[in-house]
Formats: sequence, structure tokens, C-alpha cells
Amino acid sequence: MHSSKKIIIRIIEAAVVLIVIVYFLMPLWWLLVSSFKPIPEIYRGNPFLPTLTPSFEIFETLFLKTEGSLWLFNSVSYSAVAAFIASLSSLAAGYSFSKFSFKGRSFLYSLVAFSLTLPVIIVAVPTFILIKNFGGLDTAIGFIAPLSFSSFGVFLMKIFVDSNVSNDLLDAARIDGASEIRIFFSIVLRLCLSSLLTLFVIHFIQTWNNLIYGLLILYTKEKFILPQGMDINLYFGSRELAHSLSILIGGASSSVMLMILLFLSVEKKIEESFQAGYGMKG
Amino acid sequence: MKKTPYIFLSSFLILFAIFFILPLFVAIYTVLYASKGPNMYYQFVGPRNFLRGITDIKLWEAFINMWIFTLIWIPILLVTGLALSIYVYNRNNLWSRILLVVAFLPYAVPTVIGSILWGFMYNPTSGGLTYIFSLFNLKINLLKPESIMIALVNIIAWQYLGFNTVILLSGLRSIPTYIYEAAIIDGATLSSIIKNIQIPLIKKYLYFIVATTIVGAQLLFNEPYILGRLAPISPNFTPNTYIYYVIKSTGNLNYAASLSLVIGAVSIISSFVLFKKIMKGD
Repeated sequence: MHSSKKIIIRIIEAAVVLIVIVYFLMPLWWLLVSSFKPIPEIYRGNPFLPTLTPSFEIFETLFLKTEGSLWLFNSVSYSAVAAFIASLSSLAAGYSFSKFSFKGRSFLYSLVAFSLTLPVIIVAVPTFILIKNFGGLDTAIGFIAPLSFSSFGVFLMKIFVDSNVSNDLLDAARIDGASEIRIFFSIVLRLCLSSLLTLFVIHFIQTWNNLIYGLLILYTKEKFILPQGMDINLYFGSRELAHSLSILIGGASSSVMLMILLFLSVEKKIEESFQAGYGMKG
Repeated sequence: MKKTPYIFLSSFLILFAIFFILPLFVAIYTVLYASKGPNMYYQFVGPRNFLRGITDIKLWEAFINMWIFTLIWIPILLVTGLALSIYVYNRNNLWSRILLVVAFLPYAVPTVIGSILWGFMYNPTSGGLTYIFSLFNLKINLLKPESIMIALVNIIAWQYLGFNTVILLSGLRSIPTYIYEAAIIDGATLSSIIKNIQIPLIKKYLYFIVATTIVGAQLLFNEPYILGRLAPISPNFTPNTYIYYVIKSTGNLNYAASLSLVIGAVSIISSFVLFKKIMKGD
């Protein structure tokens, strides 16, 4: 009697766990299955069953017949440039706040901390006004420049430099006659590579996600970021259904694959740079 | 040597000054003027724009809408987040670890993509969720004005539940083991450990996720914007979609700037009140 009760509880537990797993995987499974269906099959039959006749029609249409590849390229390049500048400038600023004492240091640092408490929308509208007055609307620079810094990043990097870069090492390098620039690139950068890459990925995804800046600043189709391109295809009105579906499904699966690759590559790099860091210390 | 810290700060500081500090002043300056044609600074009107923003019924409707959203979402978040984290922590086997990874996975999916995927799930004729409902002989269309809030709660749950679970899990992991040992010696059962040790000791983490959720909900844009493309919902669904609507439909940037200041003020006040409570510790 007692053990049969236990079995029933086990079965209920397994069922609940399974339902939760299915819930979280459902849209992604659908995306995977739909990405390799011939387009006419997408709206036919069981949406979760893989097709018996797999095809690359979606990706062929996306890359060869629509602006999809251009939008994907724009999103990748805009996000990469913004994330590159933001992470490197954050490391430099965080290093400066961590290891130097200078006039205005505490004032500037509290300004950075203050900016973290403000919601993005406060600066989004006036930034749009600024860019408009500078004549930067509908240019790649107009989109990238305002997204090329990260107060959060400075904060993160300062904490990381505080605990991972020892003053003795910096002093030793100075005694050996290394220039400040060289110390930064060959010691600080190397010791902080893991968090630098993490910041790069975080900022890359944030820029990728920044639909509102795209909507406000970019308006010719050739300059769109991918989320914008997907957005105008949600109505199915502007072009034929096959094109819209290819852009939405192909664009979504390309983005998801890219994000997963990004996460995985960083995970490996973090381990490597940790080992490098320990090697330097030892 | 004295210039060194400023050189390292410069790249961040220049971008920060142009795209954060300057916009704050531009916002305040712009709000004080009314535009005529292309001239945004045609006439000085003092606090008129700001007063109009603060008393804009449509803006407050948007805020109330998001507070209602929060009232629905937070109980669900607390119950499911607690259940998931406590289950994963106490079970600690292969399946519970798979559960955690799967629940966290959607956090890596860009929010625009996640919303579009759920749009496909909700599609009333061929969507995946509609298909699942039809297996149970249910005809539910979430893309209707009366159920759109549930559609949004579900997207947010899918995207952020795993992330919040990880935060709660780190709270559980911070409980020192001697407390458990003492409880087990005293003959405590698992349910009393959960009720009397685990939940009370991660209270701070619970407050933290509630506070970030309330503040974050007021600033939602991507998810409600995408939903608005798929379903008939009012443009003032959230404060940020309302600002975007004002810019796109009227082009009145002076007024949009004042709305963004009001939204910023509400967001700062609410996060101040909420986080002060956390700092006090209960």
C-alpha cells in the first residue's frame, strides 16, 4: 500500500517535470521543425511533427530572394561594432577607476552609478532628437554610436579589475619599463579577458534586441536591423506569404542559432582565460 | 603619468557625455519649447508640455495597464519560481538539472524573436498552441483584446521565469549547511525545511525579483509592440509603446520628451521605494 502510493507520487512528479520541459521547449521545437519544412507545409497538419520531405526552401528564400541576409548582416555588424567599442571602453574606464587616483574620480564614478538607476527611455527620446539634429538619422553610425557605451560595463569591469589585477604585478611591469598602454593591453586585458567577453556577449544581445532605436533611427529597408525587417513582415501584407514566412522563421532560427553559438563560444573562452589568469598569478 | 587615467577614461567618457549626459539636458530643454514646422524650439512655453504629460490620461492608462499586468504576473512568478528553484535544489538529479537548463534557455532568445515565436503559437487558425488546445476540444484565441494580457504574461513567463529561478537558486545555495544539519538532527521533515528554513531565508531574493519585475514591467516595449502587430490592442498598452505611438503619429518630439521624463520619474520613484525596502531587509 505504502509503496504503491510512492509510485503514484513518482509518476505525478515525472509528468509535471515533463510538462514544464515541454512548455519551455515548445516554441523552439516548433521553430526547428518549421525551419526545414517546405513552405506550403508550414500551415498544414500537425505543427510539431517534422516533415517527411525536409528542405532548405526557407533559408534559400531568406538569403536569395529577400533582404533577409542584408538585415542579418546589419544586425550582426551593428551589434558587433557597438559591443566591441562598449566592452573595450568599459574595461579601460573600469581599470582607470580601479587603479588610479585622479581629480574628479569619485564625482565621475557616482555619475556612472547614477546613470544605472535611470531607465533607458529617458535618454532614448532626446538621443533621437540629437541624432536628428546632427543629421545622423537613417545611418549606421546614428544607430551604433549611442549604443557604444555601457555604464553597467564600467561598473562590472571596475569590480573585476579590483579583484583580479594585483597592484604588485602592475608595479613590477612599470619598474621593467613597460608603457601604460602596453601594461593595459598585455596585462590588464589578458587578465580580464573572460569578463570582457561576457560583457561583449551581453552588449551584443542588448544591441540586437534594441528594436526601439532601430524603429526611430533607421527607415530605409537596406539599413534595417533584423528585428525591424521581421516586424514589417508580420502583417503579411507587403509581399507574398512565402517571403514573409521565410523572413520570420529563417530569421528567428538564424538568430537563435547565433545566440546559442555565442553563449557556447564564451563559455569555452571563460575557462581558457581563467586558466591563463591563474598561470600568470602563479 | 598624470594624464594616464584620463586617457583610459576618455573613450567611455566621450560617449557617455554625448549620449547620456547631453540627452538629459536636451530632454529638459526640449520640453520647455513648442515646435512649429521643422523648428523644434519655436516658442518657449515653460512647464506646459510637462504638465500636459503628467496629466495625460492615456499615459496613466498605460501605467495602470502594466500594474494590472504585474498583479497577474507576480503571484505566478513567485509560485512557479519558488517551486522550480526549490525542486531543482532539493532534488539535484539529472532531470532537475535538465529542467533548469531548459527553463533558462528562453532567456538567451532575443525578446523580439521570442514574441514572434509565440505569435506563431497563438495564431488562431494554424498556431501550435491552438493545435494543442484543439486536441482537448478547446477553442481559445489569445490574440483577442480581452485575453491579450494573458498572452503577454505567458510570453514574459516563458522568457524570464528561468532567469528568476536562477536568482532564487543562488539564494538557496547561500543558506549555510549547518542550518540543515541542525534541522535534520531535530527531526525536521522536507516540507517543514522548505516552509520554515528555505522560504524565509531567501526572502531578500524574493523581494529582489518582485522589485525588478515591477520596475521592468513599466518599461516593457518589445513584447507588447510585437503583440500589437498581431492583435488589435490600443497603442497605449504600455508607457513605452505610447511614447512610440506619439512620435510616429504626431511627430511632436517636445511632447514625447516630456512623456519620457514622466515615465523616467515614475520608474525612479518606484524603484527607489521598492529597493529601499530590500535594503532594510524585510
